[in-house]
Amino acid sequence: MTEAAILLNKIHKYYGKVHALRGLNLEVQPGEVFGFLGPNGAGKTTTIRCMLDLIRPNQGSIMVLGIDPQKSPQLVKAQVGYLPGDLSLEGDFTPRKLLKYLRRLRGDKRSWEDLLELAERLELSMDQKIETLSQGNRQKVGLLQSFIGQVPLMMLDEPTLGLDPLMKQEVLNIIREEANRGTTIFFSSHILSEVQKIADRVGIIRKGALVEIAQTDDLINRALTRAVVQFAEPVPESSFEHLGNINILRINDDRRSFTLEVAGEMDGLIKTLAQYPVRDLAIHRPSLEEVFLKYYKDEEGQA
Amino acid sequence: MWAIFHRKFLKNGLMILGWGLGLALLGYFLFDIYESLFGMNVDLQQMMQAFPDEMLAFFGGDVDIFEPEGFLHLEFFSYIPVILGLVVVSGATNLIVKKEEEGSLELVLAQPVSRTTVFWGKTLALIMTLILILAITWGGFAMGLAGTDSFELEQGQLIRPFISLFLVLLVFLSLALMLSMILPTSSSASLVTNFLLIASFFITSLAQIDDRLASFNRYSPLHYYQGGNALSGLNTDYLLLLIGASLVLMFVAWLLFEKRDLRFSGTGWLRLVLKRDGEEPV
Repeated sequence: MTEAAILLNKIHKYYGKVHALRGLNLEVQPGEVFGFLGPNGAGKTTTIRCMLDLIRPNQGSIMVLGIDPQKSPQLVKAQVGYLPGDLSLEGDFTPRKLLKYLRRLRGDKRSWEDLLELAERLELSMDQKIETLSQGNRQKVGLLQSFIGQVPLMMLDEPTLGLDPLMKQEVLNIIREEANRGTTIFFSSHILSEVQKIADRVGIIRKGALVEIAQTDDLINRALTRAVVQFAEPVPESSFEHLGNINILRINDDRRSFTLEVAGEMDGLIKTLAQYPVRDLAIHRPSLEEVFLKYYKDEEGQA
Repeated sequence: MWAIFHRKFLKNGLMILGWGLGLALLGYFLFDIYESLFGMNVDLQQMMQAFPDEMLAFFGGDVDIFEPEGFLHLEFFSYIPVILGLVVVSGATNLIVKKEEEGSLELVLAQPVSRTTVFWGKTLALIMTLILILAITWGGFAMGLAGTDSFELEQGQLIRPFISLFLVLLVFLSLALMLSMILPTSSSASLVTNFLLIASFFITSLAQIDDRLASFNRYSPLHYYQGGNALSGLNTDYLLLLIGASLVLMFVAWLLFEKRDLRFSGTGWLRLVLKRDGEEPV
């Protein structure tokens, strides 16, 4: 069996009295693009920082590429490209000087020409002082530095933060290309449409614990689909009673319009609808965003 | 370590030139001032006698201003540990903890470099900065000495008070570094170390005229600083004590940095204690 790129086992992390990670378990396979979802304060950044030994968990074990970051932090960091979520760059550098400095620390892995090409794709001026750059351009510098190492694993904390829509797309393309080269990508985000675009699997974290982990498509497919049906004549409500996976959300007074929630297969519904004159049928498949929000609403409801 | 050292050292370039050249000029002109003092020997002696002992204590007590040692102590070496001390304390608290608070250290430590490398690379760069400031300052003094016949001093002797000065500043640098690892913020570490520096200055100065302060004075780093008196010979015990204290403080600071979590905005222990239960982490 292939060794997991990331393996977290019952991680607990306290900040004083705040219990930031509550027994977090997670496994990411090599070559995967894994989206780590959660709202601000859920523990995404804390998890990544623990994996890089920037902070240390109070309990539990972590293995990154088969190495324990607490025992051999340099070995782990040599194989991980990292973009911090709260990116802070020293303002007196230019992007060129900062990248050269970080390359020296890292040992000049990726060719300088490759980095310049990436900078060009990101439309980043390399010779302007960082303190004069916009937030979006600083984010590009952060992204570029995470690509210095030509590493087997990248941890990107909110990689598209502060970028305009076109540049977000370009960054997602670059990440996808890196993944196609076999690099494992672990990225956190709360912009779910982006995760949906590039992640093979997603994990949803809430209050320091993983509440769901699944293939991105499965997660969406597993969610309830909404169907709005317009009939040419009134249809009795009882027509749908025999379908176990249907929930009627709304019926118009004239019983010609139904809003239904379907769990799983659509086959039964389609066959039932075929018995009546259907004027219009609209199927709405939920986005990852809706799935995600549902998880949070459900959890809050339970709480 | 070289890359970290080099980066930090280059960043201190203007600080080295600014402080070094400024103090070197002061040192150079002090020798001219000394020559002109001879012309007003009696007047000045009367004036000095008119000052209260408490005030003179801050400038070396009963030093003879007409002797090279006394003059240089009064005019420079008596107060310069406080001035350069403030600079060194600021440099030490900004060295690591301030960068953690700003977040820029996270990017450096995400590279395959150890905390030990970062700690010692930066610390050695700050120590080298201090050495260069003092070396340039000494250069100004040496040029001033070369241009006068009034001082019966050799250039080699002139180095001695700078050695004593360097070592006492090293203690405050190390203390600031260690406190910055313990206290919740870089600014609180700066505040506490500056307070201790000023307190040390007051205690050591006033201990010359008040015996009740003698027991406190033993713990004051400036008690082991010789200033202008070092021109006639260095006290090896004092030097070793200052070196030992610096090494211990620096070593403790390094261990603390190795063992603890990297700090991020909002995660200093004082802030965490003040956070309410259940509040979301940053």
